[in-house]
Parts: sequence; C-alpha cells; structure tokens
Amino acid sequence: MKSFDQSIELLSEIEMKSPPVELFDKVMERALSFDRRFLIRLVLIISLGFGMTFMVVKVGKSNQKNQTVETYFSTSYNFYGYE
Amino acid sequence: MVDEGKLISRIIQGDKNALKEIYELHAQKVYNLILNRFNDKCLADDITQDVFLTVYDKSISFRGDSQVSTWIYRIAFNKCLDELKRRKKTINRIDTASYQELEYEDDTKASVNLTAILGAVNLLKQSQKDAFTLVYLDKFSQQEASEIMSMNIKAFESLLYRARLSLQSTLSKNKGF
Repeated sequence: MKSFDQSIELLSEIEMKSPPVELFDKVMERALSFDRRFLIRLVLIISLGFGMTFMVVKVGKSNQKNQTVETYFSTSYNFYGYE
Repeated sequence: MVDEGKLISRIIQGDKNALKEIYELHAQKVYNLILNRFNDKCLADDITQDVFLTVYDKSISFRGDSQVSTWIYRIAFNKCLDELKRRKKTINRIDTASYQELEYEDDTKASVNLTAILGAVNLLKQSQKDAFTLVYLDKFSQQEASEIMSMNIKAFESLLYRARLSLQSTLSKNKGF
C-alpha cells in the first residue's frame, strides 16, 4: 500500500497549466453581447407590452361606442361578434 | 483575503471588474479541471468561457449555501459532465500521452510511471474517475470535491476508497505492486 500511495503522489508532479492570457477578453466580449441581447429582449417585451395595452384600450373604447376598430392596416374588425 | 460574496454582489450590479477579479482567482483551477478531463486546450478555452459567462449570468441565483469557489467549480464540473454526455463514446478519458513520463523509484526498487497510473485511471468507472481526478489531479480537498459532486462526505470517501482499490488492482496486474 505504501508503494501505491507513493506512486499516487506522482500525480502531484503534474504542473497546473495557465489559461491563455486573452481568454478573459473573450469572456468579457461574450458578457457584453449577453448584456446587449438582454437589453434588446427587454426593449422588445416593453414595446410589445405597450402595444398590447394600447390595442386593448383602443378596443375597449371602441366597444363602448359600438364602433369597429381601425387597425394599422386599415382593415376593419368588428369585435362585437355576430350581432 | 478577498470577500467573494461581495464580488458576487458587485457582479449582480453589473460590475465587470468584479467578474475579472473572480476570473483571476479561479480561472486556472477551472481551466485545469477541464483540461484534466478532456486534454483539449481549445475545448478547455470554450468551457472556461462558458463557466464564467454562467457565473455572470446566474450570479443573482447564488444563494450562498456553499462557498463561491465551490459553486464555480461545480458549474465547471457539471459543464464537463454535459460535454461528456454530448460526446459519450470518444473523449471520455485522460490522454496519457501528453504527460511526460516520470519514473519513480520506491523502497523496493519497483518503478512506476505516471503514464501507467493515468492509463489505469482511465479504466475506472466514471464516478470513481471523477472522484479520483478531483482529489489527485485537480487537487481539491475531499470536502470540496464531495461538494462539487453534490455528495455527502461519507459517500464521497467511500467512492474514493473504491476508486483507489480498483486503481491499485489494475496497477498490480500491470506492474506487480
């Protein structure tokens, strides 16, 4: 067992290698692009939220007046259904 | 002594310098942990990047149950397992050829070389190999290694003991220990 333990100690002679110097720059680059993607998603979600809110408010108002809704494409929809 | 908890708080606030400090503290050990499993420098570069990007991304979910260093090494270890699963049949072994052969003479004049030991480590079961590699190649304490493998210390000690027995048995067949 002693011989085995001694031979296992050989493994401690394997030197630790250092990562390349420029590796952190790559990490940084990816972190920044990660941030950018996060911001883009945030902006998209907020715009979508505002858009939907605007749409709902518009539909709500038109429902009160019993009118159809003019959309961006100028197509008329009657959200009242089949009356 | 650097307070790593504070570094994590700074990372959450978006401080890139804190990420750099964490990187400088742990990059070498993370890099070697990966290199000891795949012996592929390009892959070690990629996975090391992934590890620190995960640290940056998930720092907000770090609850402080363990030390920051253990958390980072666990991320690295799990990324290695993912990579092993992905390329199941190929590079699941330490490439012995890349290590220089070190001859060692013991009291009974029996000589063993490092290549033989690393070759025998390759033949261990995956969990035994992980435990053995963490302690003897990556140079973690048994406590740290058990936390990295998400095991309790007793179970880890038992696993490591079985790994040593298997290794000794393999080496004795080859070298007559």
